[in-house]
Amino acid sequence: MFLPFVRYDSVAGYKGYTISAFHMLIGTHGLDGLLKSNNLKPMSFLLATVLFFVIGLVLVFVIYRRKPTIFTLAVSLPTVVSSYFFTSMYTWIVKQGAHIMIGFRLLLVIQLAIMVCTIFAIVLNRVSARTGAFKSHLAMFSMLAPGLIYLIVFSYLPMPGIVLAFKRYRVFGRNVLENFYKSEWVMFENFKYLFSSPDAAMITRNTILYNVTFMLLGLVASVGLAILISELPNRRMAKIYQTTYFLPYFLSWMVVAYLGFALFNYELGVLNRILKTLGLDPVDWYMEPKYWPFIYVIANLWKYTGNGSIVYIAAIAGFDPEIYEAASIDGAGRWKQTMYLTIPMLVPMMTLLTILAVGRIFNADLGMFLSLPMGSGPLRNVSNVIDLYVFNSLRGGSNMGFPAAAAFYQSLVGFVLILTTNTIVRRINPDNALF
Amino acid sequence: MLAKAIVEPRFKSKKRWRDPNKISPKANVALNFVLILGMLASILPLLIVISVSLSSETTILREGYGLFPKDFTLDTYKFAFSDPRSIVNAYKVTIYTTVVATAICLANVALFAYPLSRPDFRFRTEITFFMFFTMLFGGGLVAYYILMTGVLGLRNSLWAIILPYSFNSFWVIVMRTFFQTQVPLSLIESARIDGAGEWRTFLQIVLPISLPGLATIALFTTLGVWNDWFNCVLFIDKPELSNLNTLIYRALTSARMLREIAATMGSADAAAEISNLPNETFRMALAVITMGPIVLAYPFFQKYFIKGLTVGSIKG
Repeated sequence: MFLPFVRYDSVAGYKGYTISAFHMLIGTHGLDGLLKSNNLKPMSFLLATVLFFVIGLVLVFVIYRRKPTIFTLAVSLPTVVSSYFFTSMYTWIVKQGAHIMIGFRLLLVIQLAIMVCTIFAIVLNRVSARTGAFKSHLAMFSMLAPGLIYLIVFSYLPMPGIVLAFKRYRVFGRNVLENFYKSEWVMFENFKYLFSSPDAAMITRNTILYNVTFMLLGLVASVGLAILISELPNRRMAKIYQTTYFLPYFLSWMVVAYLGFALFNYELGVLNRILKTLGLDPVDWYMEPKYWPFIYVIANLWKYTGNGSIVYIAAIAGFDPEIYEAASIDGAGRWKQTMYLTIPMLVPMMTLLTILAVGRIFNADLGMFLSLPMGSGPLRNVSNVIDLYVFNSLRGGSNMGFPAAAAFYQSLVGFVLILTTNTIVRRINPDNALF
Repeated sequence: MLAKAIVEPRFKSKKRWRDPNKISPKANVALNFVLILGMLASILPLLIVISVSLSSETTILREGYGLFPKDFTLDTYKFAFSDPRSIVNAYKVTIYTTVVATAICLANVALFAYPLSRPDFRFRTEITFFMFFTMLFGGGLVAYYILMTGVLGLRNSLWAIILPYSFNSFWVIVMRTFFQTQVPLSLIESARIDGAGEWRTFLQIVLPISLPGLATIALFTTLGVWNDWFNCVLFIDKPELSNLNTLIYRALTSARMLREIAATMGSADAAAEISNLPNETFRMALAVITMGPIVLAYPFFQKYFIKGLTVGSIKG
């Protein structure tokens, strides 16, 4: 209601955009309402956010200690008054010139802080009135503050960027908001490219097929390994296995590419040396696309199975041994116990992890597809996935259309997929659903 | 004879008594065999790379890669560290970013998870949802790129590597579950009765008994930042600010260039050219140098992290 988001078109004659106090606050626009060329101060924005929180918390705290009872009135009144006061001062300050701009921004920050902290305090006060835990809640919020700021800046701030899929993003200047505004709407043009060109169809197909394979085989391998390890009577050996199977997870794909090179190198590689000793013809692995889908699947399993099995091993260790004893008294052998007890009891965990994996079905494991082929040309078609294409376009820096459309695709479709899978799972068995 | 067989209980027969809930010895042997095969598959490529990096270049070129070092020598490592600008510098960058990011991430995650673990915190569900939503839905890579370069201005700054790792929603959930299950509420309440505030309770009571959970997060964050090349390649152009994984990523592409050049030049000359500098062994030494510390650090964390991971990942 009293937010100082006023139109400045009339003051500055700058048509087309609503220049608000917020724009001035984050430094994209001068006080004259004009866009400034080189003025986006990221740190000032971060600082403002931090300041905003600190001032808010201090104010709430101080005011609370004075008058806990008429608290709401005490904070909200000055906020409303100051808001109107500041808003009416804009025009005057704009006429004064730019030299008091810093002070002006400071005022804005304080004002915003007062407003937010009012809302915050009112809610908090009302909530904790019943429990009397105001102070404790205040401490809790001070603990949450860094994480909340992080989430706002790194997760919620880029979210509107999803509409870039419908725009042709172009760089007009160093100002991001300006670029964002000025870029024209092209609606579905980016998507047309995504769906029409054969290259893009292949990329999408690759991504989905690889991910589905990884998901299914990974699930089987992880659960299988977990069951095998859990069956071992010797706990020390089980620990050693667990540790070694987990080791590949610690290597980045860049390192794994070198491991792969040691195996697949034409002249020196281990695989070709084995082939030679067996009297077979050596294979130039980096030139033969037909082997690579299998290599990718094996590499993926090799790297992630140990990590994936840990959760299942823990789950199996937590199962009640009495259930197994009862089953063995009824005559079920170890095999039957595994089939009819262990696996059904693992299903909730499996469903949970699969739902999360389904949501990421358009997000390929970029590192693997980027590094494993060692930049070999003939392998481009077999290893081109959405993320790789986006990564290359971003590094090229020219065409933002396809990456943006792909990002939209990945985010929104992934989100919808998670919701759908979750709904289906909830229909079947509410206990297995993620939320 | 017959009477004896009837009187003897079954488990006192010739066969040794066996726990019916354990697998048979035969199955045990088969199981161990399969698992040892898998174990070899997990570590053999690693051993090959290490052995190549310890071999002499000429022998490698003659005989190819193998599992055991040929003509054991440390020359490659001497060569690698003789040019301090690239590798030593990349080490510095990697260690700096890893330490800073891990510290920030630990603080952020623990601080965020603790209120969410408390049943008497009124906004638990709302804030959990606020966080959980970001795990399901995001602005995409382009928006992220624009945020990092345009809004935050982090191009060619090490913060471009540190900040993306300084908070993690997934670890918050793990840590929250860890607090819920491992820290008894009565302990927190008794601290409150003794007059400790929330911060004091958290720092002096809750944190010290949550070490396994913290160690897990520390390990995985360390791993993530150490192995980061994505942010470094995207946002950092200056060679002196690139970390180890970016270094070997670039070496990977230049090795490709080398390969192409060798292919066009005709093999005999090129082979002679390449053998002057330890190319094959150097490549593998680079990989060893990059993964070394993280693999060595793993056993020290291991004591904690399986416990932390298993307790924290139970659905709750």
